[in-house]
This record gives sequence, C-alpha cells and structure tokens, in this order.
Amino acid sequence: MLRYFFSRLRLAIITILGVSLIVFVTSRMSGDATLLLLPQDASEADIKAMQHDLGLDASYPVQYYRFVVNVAHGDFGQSLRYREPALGLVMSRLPATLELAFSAFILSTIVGLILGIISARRRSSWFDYGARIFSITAQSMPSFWVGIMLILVFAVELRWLPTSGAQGIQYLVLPVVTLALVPIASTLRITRSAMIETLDADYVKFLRVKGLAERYIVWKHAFRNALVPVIAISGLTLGFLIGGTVIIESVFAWPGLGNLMVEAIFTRDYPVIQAGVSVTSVFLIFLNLAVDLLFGVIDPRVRFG
Amino acid sequence: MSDGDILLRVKDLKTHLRGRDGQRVVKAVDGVSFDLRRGETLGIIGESGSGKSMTALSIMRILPSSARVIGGEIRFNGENLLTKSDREMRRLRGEQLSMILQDPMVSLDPLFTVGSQLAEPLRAHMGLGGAALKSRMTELMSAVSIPSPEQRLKQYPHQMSGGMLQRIVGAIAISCDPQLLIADEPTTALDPTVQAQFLDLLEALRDSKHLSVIVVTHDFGVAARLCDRVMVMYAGRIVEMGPIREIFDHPRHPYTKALLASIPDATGAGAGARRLRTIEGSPPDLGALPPGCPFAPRCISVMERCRRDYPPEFRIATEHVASCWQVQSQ
Repeated sequence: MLRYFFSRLRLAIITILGVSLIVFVTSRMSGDATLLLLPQDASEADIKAMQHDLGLDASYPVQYYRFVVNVAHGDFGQSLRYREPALGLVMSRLPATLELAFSAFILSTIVGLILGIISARRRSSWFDYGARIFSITAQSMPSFWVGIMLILVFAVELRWLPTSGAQGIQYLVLPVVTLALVPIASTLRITRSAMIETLDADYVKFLRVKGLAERYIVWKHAFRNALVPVIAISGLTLGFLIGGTVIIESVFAWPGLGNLMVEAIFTRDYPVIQAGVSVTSVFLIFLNLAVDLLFGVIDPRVRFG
Repeated sequence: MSDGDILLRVKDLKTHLRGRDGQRVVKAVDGVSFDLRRGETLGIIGESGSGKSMTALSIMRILPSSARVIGGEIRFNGENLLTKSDREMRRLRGEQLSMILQDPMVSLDPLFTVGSQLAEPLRAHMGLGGAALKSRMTELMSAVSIPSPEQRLKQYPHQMSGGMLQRIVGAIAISCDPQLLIADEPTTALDPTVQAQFLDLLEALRDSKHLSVIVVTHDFGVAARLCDRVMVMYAGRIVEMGPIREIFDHPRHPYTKALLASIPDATGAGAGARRLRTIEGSPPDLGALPPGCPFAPRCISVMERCRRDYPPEFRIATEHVASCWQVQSQ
C-alpha cells in the first residue's frame, strides 16, 4: 500500500509541474503583459523599464524558474484590476465554488448509485427504460439552458426558489441540481452496467451456492464490486463539476471562483487567471490522488498489484 | 434398490430458456429422469449445450433469470425441491446441497479474503463464530491440503494459483458437510498438471465425508476416474445411462460411441493404430429441434424411423439403458 501511495504521489507531483509549465507557456503566448499595463503612447524606454521591473527581459528558462519559485512561495503576483494578491482573491472565492461542486458531487453520487442499482436489479422494467431515457436526455442538454429553464419554472413561475445569489441553502438548490444532472446520468449508467456485470459474475453464483441471503449478496458483494468503477470515474466527475461551475456560476450569479475567472478573462487580469488555473489544477490533482488511494483501499488487486 | 437408498430422484425434469429475442423457447433440459444413490458418484457427460449444466443448476435452483423449470420433480431425501420456498431452498443450499463451479479464478469475490468467504457459510448455516469458527476453517483448509492455512486465509483470491483456488472453492463447498456435491466441470479450467491432483482430492473428500457426487463433464477421462455410473446427454435428453465400465466397454448409443472414439489415447498405444475421430456436424439448435431423434442428422447409422419418432428408453441390462431405435432392432 505504501509503495502504491508513493507511486501515485510521484505522479501527482509530475502532473503539477506539467500544469505549471502549461500555465506559464499559455500566459506568455497571450501577448506582452507590459503593453496592457502601460498607456498606448508609452516610450520604448518605459516599456523596457517595465519589462525589467516585471522580470520579462530575462530568458524564458529563467522566467519559468522564477515563476515556479514564486508560486512555491504562494506568490502569483498582484491582480491588475483589484491591486491585491491574486492568490488571496482566488482563495476567498474558492469556498463558494467548492460548496457548489461538492454538493453536486454528493447529490449525483447518491442519486446515481441508487437509480443505477434499481435499474440493474429491475432490468428491462419501465423503471429501467425511464432511467435510460433520463440519462440520455440529461447528458445531451447544455447546462446553461437547463439552468435558465429551471430558473424560469421554479423561480419565475412557481416562485419556490430564488433566481440567483448566495444567501442561504435555498439559493443552493437550483445551481446544484443543474450541475448534478450530467454526473447523475453518468453515475447511473456506470452503476447499472457494473451492477449487471457483477450480478452475473460466477462469484455471485457461488455465493448463491453457499446459501447466503440475496440481500446480503447484493449489498455486501455485488454492490462493493460495482463501486469500483464508480470510484474510478469520481475523480473525473469532480473535475467536470469544478470546471462546470464556471458556466453555472454565471447563470446563477454565484460568487465563486468561476465568476471571478470569467471576469478576469474579460479584463485580462493574468495573475488572477494564472492563480485560478493553478489552484484548481492542484486541487483536482490532489482529489484524484485521494480517489486513487480510496481505490487501493477498496480493491486488494490495486493495493498489492 | 429401496427408496431409502436414494438421495436424489429427478423425474421428467424440464428446464426451458427464453431465447435472446425473448420469444423463442429453448428446451435446455427436456424430460430428464435419474436417481442418485447415497454415496454414489454419477457423471453427466455431454457437449456444451447438451443441458448437463442446466440440469445441475436446476437441482441447485440457481438458474439464470432467462431459465425456468417448467415441469418435473426433483426429490432430495424424498422432498420435492421445486416446491420449496426460496428461503427453505437457501437453507438447503450450501448446507446439504453444494456445488463447485468450473472456473476457480472467478468463483471467489476478488475484494474479500478467502478466509472471509470460507467463513460465510459456516456462520450462516452452522452459526459458528469465534474460536470454533477459526478451528473449523483451519481444519477445512487442511482437509483440502493447503499448507500454512492461517496465512492463506488472510490472502485475496488474486494472490493464489488456480489449483489452490479450486481447492479452496472445494473447502467452501464441503464446509457444512453437505450430502450432495455437484462438481460442474471441476478441472476444465485447471492446468493439466493440477487436474489430476484435484481429482485425487475430490475422491478423497468424497470417501472421507461420505458425499454423494454428481460430476458434470465433457471429459470421459474425468468420469472414468470418479464415477460409478454415467449418463450421456444430448440436446437436453439422456441418450444413454449405465455403469461406467458398461458404457466404456459396450456403448450402445451411436453418440456415446462417437464420443468415446473422439478421446485421444493417453497411453499412446492406439495412437498409430487409429486416427482420432470427430463427430461430424454440430449440436442441434435447441430452439428448433426436428421431429424424431435430435442426433439423427449427425448419426452414422441413422434409419428411416429415427427422423420420425423420438426413440424411447430401451433397457439393455439391469442398469444400462439407451434411447436409440438401433438398440431395439438388435
């Protein structure tokens, strides 16, 4: 288990370095930041001076090295718009986004698992067909449209829930449901097929030979085996959810990281974009590390393999 | 033979499958009757699709959802298993009726230790726990000759070889001292070198635990090693049944003869003398059986009548029967 842990950790660190390189390169590719900071009529000398101040006159390897060292100290630079540390801005918005993403993750996992298991156990029933139609529909509707439709129905027409903002639990309902719809569908499908496969497996047949109760077989053995692929995709699901908040936060005016990033992109606030991308990436990499470890806990073949 | 000697009596068993399209009916087992005496080992021999495994699964009542027993009786100690509730059947399964499946590599749940999977029937049926459970488990592991059982019990299925896993599956199957053990192709998935070992073990367990055994196999060699009697199945029916020596020395049904002729001779003595013969054609489509004998299209000594009427059972000797018109005409 320890060897497995370290091999995963090594992979995570390599991925983080890769991400830092991508962030660095894309930000250099998007143009010279000094030209944005200085007035149009700035002299050549002014530009040179500014470049020197920002360290942009050094060679790329040296710049990258400085970038990595600064980032390692938590310094992503100042936000061009707010004139305060970019990392602080990002971190202040992160909790709201995580609240949204994790609520949607918990909702989609629970609902997806339950619907998937019922579907698998009642194969070819009306419930199973209904679930299949639901998952195809849910996966093919764009989330911004779903969000707007939900606002129209539940906030504008029925007036059950607020349209936007974040002042309490009732503000969470619509964005979370919108965000969770696609992962509910994917979790449902994976749970269903995994459950069908395990219920047909020979070891389940042998458990029946042993004369064990059906409920015990389903929940202790089949369910746990079906959980393996569901856990395997949960890292992807979380990535999808955290990425998906960007759109959802705009639709519901949710004061999270997604909204901050959209704003930063429009105003070319590069330090904030870099900080936002880096923080979400590192966060996701560690979440995936946690998922991998959970995988090892549940499946001995991974642990000893 | 008094009824008290009979452990299992299967009478006119019919198990049908719904085909893939949900409409077509496949007669997987079509009117099978046989007795199993206490302490006896009976072989069920046939090609895949002959209904031999379906017969075994019908007795255990663990058929796939597409299959259903639609007629007949399965009397175990005089009681009809087919009228038992699921709960009653569950209590019998694992405790009095048990089974070894074909592939040991997939017979155990990969996420649980072999120890926990051995403990399950002991807890469920015998109510064992604590030290009693532990000693029983060690005892069973030794009974199937697994060295250092204490450590092995803590391991997972993927950490063991196929031969060792099949012995553990055997230990689980006999854990509650069943009266009947069904072994469905117990050595097919094993390496040739461990096949013989496992057959030895099965034989030893049968004798020490006084088991009655049904061996489902396509291999006459396995049947010869273990069985007192064999029944040969074709297209869901028994075509010939008798003591193993009788069947070997005087097979009467053309299908049995053909099967015996298709066995490679391990001694090598006959290798040069005769070529290995295969049976022409393929097993029939059980969803669309022709009238008459289902073997007729592949039979080398087919007669006019065979294509018209299904042959009844003809008695050749006290215990030797065959369903073939030729037997009658001879």
